[in-house]
Amino acid sequence: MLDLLVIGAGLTGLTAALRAAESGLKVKVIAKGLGSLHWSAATVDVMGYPAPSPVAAKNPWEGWQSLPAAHPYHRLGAKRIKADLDAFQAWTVALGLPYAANADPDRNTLLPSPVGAFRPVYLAPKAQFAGDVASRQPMLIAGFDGVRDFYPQLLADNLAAQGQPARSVLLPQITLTDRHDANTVHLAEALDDPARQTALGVALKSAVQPGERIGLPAILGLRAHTQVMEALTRITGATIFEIPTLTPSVPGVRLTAALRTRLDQVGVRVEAGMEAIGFNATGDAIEWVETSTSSRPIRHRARNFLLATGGVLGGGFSSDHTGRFWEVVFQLPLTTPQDRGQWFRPQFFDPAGQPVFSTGVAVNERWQPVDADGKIVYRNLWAAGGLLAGADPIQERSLEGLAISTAMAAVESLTTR
Amino acid sequence: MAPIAWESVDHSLDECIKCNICTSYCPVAAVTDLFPGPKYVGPQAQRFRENGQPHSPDHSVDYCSGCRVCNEVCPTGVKIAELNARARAEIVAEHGLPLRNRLLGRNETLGKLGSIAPGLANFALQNGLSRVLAEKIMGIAREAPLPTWSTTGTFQDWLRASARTRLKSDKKVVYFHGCATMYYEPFIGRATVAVLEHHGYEVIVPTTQNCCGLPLLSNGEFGAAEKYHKNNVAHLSSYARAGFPIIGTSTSCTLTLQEEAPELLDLHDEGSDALKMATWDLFEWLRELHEKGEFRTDFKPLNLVLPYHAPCQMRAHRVGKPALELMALIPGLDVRESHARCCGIAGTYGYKQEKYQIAMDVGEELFDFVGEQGTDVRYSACDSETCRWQLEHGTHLPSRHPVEILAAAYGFYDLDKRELISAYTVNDHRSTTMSLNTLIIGAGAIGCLAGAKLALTGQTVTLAGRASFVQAMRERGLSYTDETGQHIVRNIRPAGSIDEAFARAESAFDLAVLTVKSYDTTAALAELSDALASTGAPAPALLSMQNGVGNEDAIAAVLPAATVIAGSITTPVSMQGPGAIRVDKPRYGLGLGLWRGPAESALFAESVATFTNAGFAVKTFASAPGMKWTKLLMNMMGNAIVAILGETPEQVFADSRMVDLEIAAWREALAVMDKAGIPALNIDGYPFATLAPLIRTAPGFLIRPVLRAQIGGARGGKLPSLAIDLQSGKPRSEVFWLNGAVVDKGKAAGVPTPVNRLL
Repeated sequence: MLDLLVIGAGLTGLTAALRAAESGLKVKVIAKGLGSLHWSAATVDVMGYPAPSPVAAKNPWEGWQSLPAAHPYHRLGAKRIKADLDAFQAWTVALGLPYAANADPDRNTLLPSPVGAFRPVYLAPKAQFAGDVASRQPMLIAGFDGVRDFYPQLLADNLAAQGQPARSVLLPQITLTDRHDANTVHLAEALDDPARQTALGVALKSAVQPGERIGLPAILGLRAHTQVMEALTRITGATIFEIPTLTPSVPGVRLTAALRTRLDQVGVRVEAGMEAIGFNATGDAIEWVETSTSSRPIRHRARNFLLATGGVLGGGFSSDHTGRFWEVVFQLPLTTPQDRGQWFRPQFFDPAGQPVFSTGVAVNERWQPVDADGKIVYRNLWAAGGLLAGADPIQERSLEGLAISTAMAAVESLTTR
Repeated sequence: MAPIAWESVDHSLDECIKCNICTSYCPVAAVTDLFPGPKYVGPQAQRFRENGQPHSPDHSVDYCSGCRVCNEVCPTGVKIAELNARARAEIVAEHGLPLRNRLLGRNETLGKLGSIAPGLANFALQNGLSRVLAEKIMGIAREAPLPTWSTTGTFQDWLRASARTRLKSDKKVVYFHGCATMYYEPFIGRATVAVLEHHGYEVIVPTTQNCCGLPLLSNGEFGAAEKYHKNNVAHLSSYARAGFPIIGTSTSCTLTLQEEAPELLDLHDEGSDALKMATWDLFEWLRELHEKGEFRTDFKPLNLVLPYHAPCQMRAHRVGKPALELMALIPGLDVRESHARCCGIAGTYGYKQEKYQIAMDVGEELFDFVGEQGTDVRYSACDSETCRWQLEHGTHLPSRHPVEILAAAYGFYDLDKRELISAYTVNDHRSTTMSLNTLIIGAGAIGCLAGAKLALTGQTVTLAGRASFVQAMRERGLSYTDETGQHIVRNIRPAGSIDEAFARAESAFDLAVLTVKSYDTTAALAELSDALASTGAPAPALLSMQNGVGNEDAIAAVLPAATVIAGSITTPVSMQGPGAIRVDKPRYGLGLGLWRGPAESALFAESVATFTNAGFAVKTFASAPGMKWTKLLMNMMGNAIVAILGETPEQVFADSRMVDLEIAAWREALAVMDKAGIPALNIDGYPFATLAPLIRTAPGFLIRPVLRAQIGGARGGKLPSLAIDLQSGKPRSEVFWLNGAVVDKGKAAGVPTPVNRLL
């Protein structure tokens, strides 16, 4: 019998599973498909915009008084979240995909986005972290002819307009691959080949000027990422950094692979392609969750269940045109209004965010879903991550901080019961 | 054909958020520019395929291998692989289909055709020249890992032969074996039956099942696939409704019955649904047993490092990796799980010339994984047949189905030879009824073989032979050398005469096996009936394992109340001295037919069971005379003429005139059989039922090469029995029971037989 069934294989689900397995629990992860990490820059954003303001927060631990009372961060507190993120960072180092943080733990770091905006992040893969705009060291943004959704000149112009010196160069795609068409993952795989690394290094060397650092789309190797970074640094003599791309996001694929490798080592199976379609509860305890197959649904029994299916984007919620809005696995009570008219504000970019994204599953202090009266729905069910009510992770830029800290808190709660 | 149904995928199409995860994980798009990726040819191109659009927009969808990795990773549940399969069917409907794809889609028909003469078919298909031609003419890649037809009979042959020995039980399951098990890998079916019986389940194998239709579906022939599926529904859904699980060992077949066929063909009738819900992958079903605490774990250690790849079609079941879970219970077995996406072959995809290299490039991830597991890895394992063939092709290591691993761990399967070994004791019922007290009369090669194999499986055996045999047996036991080496068998009771055998017997003999030369039958029978009369023992059943025809009639005349069984043994065995034999070719073919006795003779059934469990490949024949006469045809071949000329068969048959003489003798024999109403049969590699019309009517230049090959293969430089008798200076030979029998029967039937008379 499993101690814990985790539903969802995004950052929340994988973090929870690893933490639980390290605490000695027998764990399995099921997911409808591969998680939303593939869409993310794979940085760990803790709090970029606590208040409805266009100005990014310099200190991620401040300004929380503007957050809703039900925000999970209020319950956790900065100290505890910091400790959780330290633990996460230690994992990344052990997994060979080290993340870096600002030397000052009370500082966000601003990194370039794919269009040259500044993104406030707390932790980032080392390769991205070198793009920190604080130093104002000049940048050469290198892109490739034919590579979609990465336009070095647009990026450099936008950076320069914000005071970050930058210029651009467009290299032929042939430097990376002989293929006519390739997406970011294919290009990253191509660069696992040392010969390609050398070719790219030589091309960059002839383009870079002394004192410049080189920003490239985040395609610098899939399995041989460290090796690619070393080779390019050696050949060019310059600092190399990655800028995240549109989907599929190679840094997200790398982080997924690293976490899954670790889970595999500690005996946790991650089953993709398993969509939860039903469950059974005896009294107030969940007995099993059912997933769809090519024939009879199969039942997954466990002592505890952790829901980590994400919010609207992750697929944890669904809706229809009548205004109905529901949680897809356990039909948990939601704080979301059952009236379409109240889901959105008139302005799409309203700095206050959209109500539909800040509502969701309400939990008690033990991270157990509760109904409108604060009563626990099922005594062996926990919830964490993007589906929690009270946070607007997209608007706040707090998605990963929320995922990691609530996942760890929920696991701690269920193990100390 | 039926119009392609798009409705069921329309909804899932709306779920696509263009995230490209599918393209990132697509194993085909990763290695070739010819396939732009699932998102492009699937959800993206789909809008141009909506009803009313005249042409399919993009033929690159034909490069989709159908592995379904895209479905597995899609976070929003788009049925991408199904979209692609429909798109291919639309191209086929619009542009037709090359002959090659028609052929590759018809696995069942190919299986049937090849199984008529598997040796010939394998040669025809596997030689270098044919493969070059097949590539040039049809575009079937010359290096592609095509299967070989089973040369030890189809699975159906084994089912027939083992019908009486298989477990009967109140607990029943239905087995869907699929074409590969039927025609290419019957040992998978044998291992499956053994494993299921080991759990106390009777295995029903409906002969009306046919191909699941997947090869047709994946080649875009939806109309033909629909016929197959509807037939399976018609014949199997009644089992489903009666509550029997329908268990398969080919993951693509089970997936097709469950989901692919109903989904792609839009068949949602009650019968299709019943079949869908009752179909199981074997290991998924065994895992259920395990969860109920009913899975047997009486394993012996299997000290192997085993790289295991769950094939795409297994993963598409979305039930996890049950084979991995159960193999993990086997002590000593170190199963290493592959995370490779696909082996590349994807059914018939990798057979196609233009896709062969793509398939190999896709498979590299898996081949590398297997290679990384160390040099002492002896096998890989995978649930799907085409994937195993591809794995073997890519890694040069044998690959096994997990059920073979399981059967080996239970101790009743040989992983190298891929066959059931010795007696696998299924239940107490069988093991108690199988114990026969057997008397073997004649300690020649056949008598020693039968005695050794029965004794090795713990049967009580008395062997009556000459004094030299008895002495050798007492001094050192019976020396029996087979493909596994030399065995000294001591648990055989030797007797210098039939009288002595009866005197030493502790209980009555159930079965007496006659293995003396035909010219000694009369004397042996006289001795036997004297012994019965003097001891008052009941007559045992009599089994004649002798060559020629006429022995069974002689037995029946002397022992009017006894059950008489006709036997034909087709394993070349040599005498190395008294009580010492060597198996020349480990085929162990044994035909058994009831000559005289009650229709449901228990003794016959027990004899079949006993010899099967002793390791003989027993095949039962409804027509015992047909079997004996067919064996006679085999024994005639290259026997008398060689003996008369005193040369080896090879030398004799270098001369076309001698070959023609042989053909003439056969034609006479066939004419006699025809007239007497005795059928020629297909036995153990000699397809006389199939060849008889050819021998009788085809011109000599067509038959000669076949005959030469057959005789060369069967006899080679070894001398036939008549020549050995003649050269050893024996005053008698069995010629009267071979060619002589043809003459006698011809006389009775009014058919002239001048050639056989001469010989």
